[in-house]
Amino acid sequence: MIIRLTLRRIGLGLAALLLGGLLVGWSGVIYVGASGGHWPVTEWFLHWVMRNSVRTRALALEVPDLSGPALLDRGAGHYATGCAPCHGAPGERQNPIVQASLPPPPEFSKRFDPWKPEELFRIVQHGVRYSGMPAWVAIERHDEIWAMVAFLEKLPRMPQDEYQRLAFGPEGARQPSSGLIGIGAINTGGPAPPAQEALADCARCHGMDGRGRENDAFPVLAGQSEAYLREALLAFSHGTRHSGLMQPPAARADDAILGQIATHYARQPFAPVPHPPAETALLEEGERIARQGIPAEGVPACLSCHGGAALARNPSYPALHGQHASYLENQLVQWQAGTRGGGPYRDLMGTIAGRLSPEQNKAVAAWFARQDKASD
Amino acid sequence: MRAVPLAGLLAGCGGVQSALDPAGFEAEQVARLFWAMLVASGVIWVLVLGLAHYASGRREKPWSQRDAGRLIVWGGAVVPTLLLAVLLFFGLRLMPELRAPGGPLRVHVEGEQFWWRVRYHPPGGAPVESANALVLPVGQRVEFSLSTRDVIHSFWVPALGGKMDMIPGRTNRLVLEPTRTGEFRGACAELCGASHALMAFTVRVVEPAEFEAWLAREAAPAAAGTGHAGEAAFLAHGCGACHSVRGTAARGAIGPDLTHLASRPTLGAGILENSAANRAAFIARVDEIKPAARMPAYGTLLDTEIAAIAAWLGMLR
Repeated sequence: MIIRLTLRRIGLGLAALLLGGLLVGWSGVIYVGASGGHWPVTEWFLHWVMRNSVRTRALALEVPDLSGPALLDRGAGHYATGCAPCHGAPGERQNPIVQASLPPPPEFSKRFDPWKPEELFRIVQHGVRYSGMPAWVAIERHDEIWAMVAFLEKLPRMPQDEYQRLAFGPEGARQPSSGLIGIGAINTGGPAPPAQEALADCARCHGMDGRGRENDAFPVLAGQSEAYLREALLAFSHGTRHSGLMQPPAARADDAILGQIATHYARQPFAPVPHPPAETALLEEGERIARQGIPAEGVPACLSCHGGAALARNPSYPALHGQHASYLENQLVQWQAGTRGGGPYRDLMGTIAGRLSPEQNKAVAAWFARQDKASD
Repeated sequence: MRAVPLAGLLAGCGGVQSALDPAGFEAEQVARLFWAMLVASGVIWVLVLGLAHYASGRREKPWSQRDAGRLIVWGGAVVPTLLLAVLLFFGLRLMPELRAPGGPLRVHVEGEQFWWRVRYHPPGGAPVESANALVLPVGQRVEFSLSTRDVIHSFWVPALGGKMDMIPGRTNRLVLEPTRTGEFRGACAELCGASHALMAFTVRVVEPAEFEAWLAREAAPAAAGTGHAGEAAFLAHGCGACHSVRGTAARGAIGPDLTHLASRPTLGAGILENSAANRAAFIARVDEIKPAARMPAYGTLLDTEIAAIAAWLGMLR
């Protein structure tokens, strides 16, 4: 029998297909349970599409320098609470509940696919659709995502004790039952539970004394005012300051507990970071910007809001002296890229930071990092 | 409905910002030249139309080639050349007078985005910083030096004289000689950016003695307000990083000097009446009131703080 193809018949055929498809969907015979897994061919197809998508979309990415311990510290701190619950960690087995999801997230100690760094970046940044892998909370914070990639590159060969030191800090790793519960047991005169538990979460990276690690992975919190710390934590918690590293822990605690954490860190004695080496010309340029601003560009003197007298007048402005230069510079870069967000005053600094050049960022950050006290 | 556009047109002929209602030496000369040219061009217009009417309707016999050639030579070349020569003579004769050097008082005006930085250089005295408002003595030639760093403006007080461009890398000169007292308005006459239409200033012309007294007051630090809640809020929120209020800790030089803000008739470079409500609105919503202004909006402050700052600024006479 010969059936002649006419437009009318093609149209009818397509309509029948569509209707039939809807009918099958409506009938409920399609199985959507996670148990039993996919057919091998389905699994192969889905995975093939995913790998191709990641590979193609990572083509234009340039990988920055991923060496150095600070990136590992940042990545590990987030991994412990953000990733380990699904992917496991050295010394922490994957939860059987997670293993029963479809697709089951790979347990990295057993299986770590050979992704290139830029491909890992794409996966961490955007997540994977239909797989349960979430996107980064602040996808515009490339600096944080690269830190995560740097850590993931090292993770497959990382011994348990190193992982615990990176993820829980020296204080947390020393405890018999490492991690949150362990550090929560340290009594340093901090607040009472449940704030004690939230504080333990902070202390993994920032230390109980608010000085962070020996490197420049985390900003120094000791010496900041209670008002500034509280407003920064609330901004993270409510999503007006953008960070995939800080928004999740801030959102885990309620506003009252964030206030107690701010109080705790505001009480810690200030200690400036070790002076990093810097060229004299750079420091002179930084000092000039800090003290006089750049009138031709409409940049006021930094110290008119971040100097000693100004901080005494308005505790909502952060102290910059003795802070890590890399942190200060990165904040300026984030302001300039429009990705930082912040507390109630964010529009002010956003306006001013946009008028600094990359060299000026570096200069002013280097100068502030070397100050042991607030100047005027 | 008809009256509205007509009134709008006629408003240009008088008032605070009209070159046809001159109050300065240069503006008077230019206005006189304008009126003379207007009358003369009216006469010529009538003559030309009359000739055309005669040639096309009244005259019956055709023009001979010789007559037509003569008419073209006289009416098309000789007479216009003579008229333009007379006009050029009067125009050139005016120029040395308009360019004559100014008196001992010099005023520097720097065009900013989007406001006017004003610095008086009185003879033998220290410079006096001000912004967005001029006060000038009547009957004295005042030399203006006009410059800018990063924007092109044109400085124009139609009732007094001008205009003169402000161009980065140059300092241009302009001499104004007010001939009667009064309140006038100047404006930017060169498209300069998003807030070009919001780029004006006030000019108050006063008797010389009154000018001396005003300048002495302007040079003095702010008298009122020490200890006021508005001053505390102004300093706490960092306003002093960009603005100076002499006599307080506010010593910024990025934005307009506010030491005697309350004595200026307008806000935001001639765009708003200087009232407490407008000062508060400007602080909170400068981004809407003055697009592309370099000041960030302070709407995040408490209303009570904004009101206190607005009230304190109102005390800075």
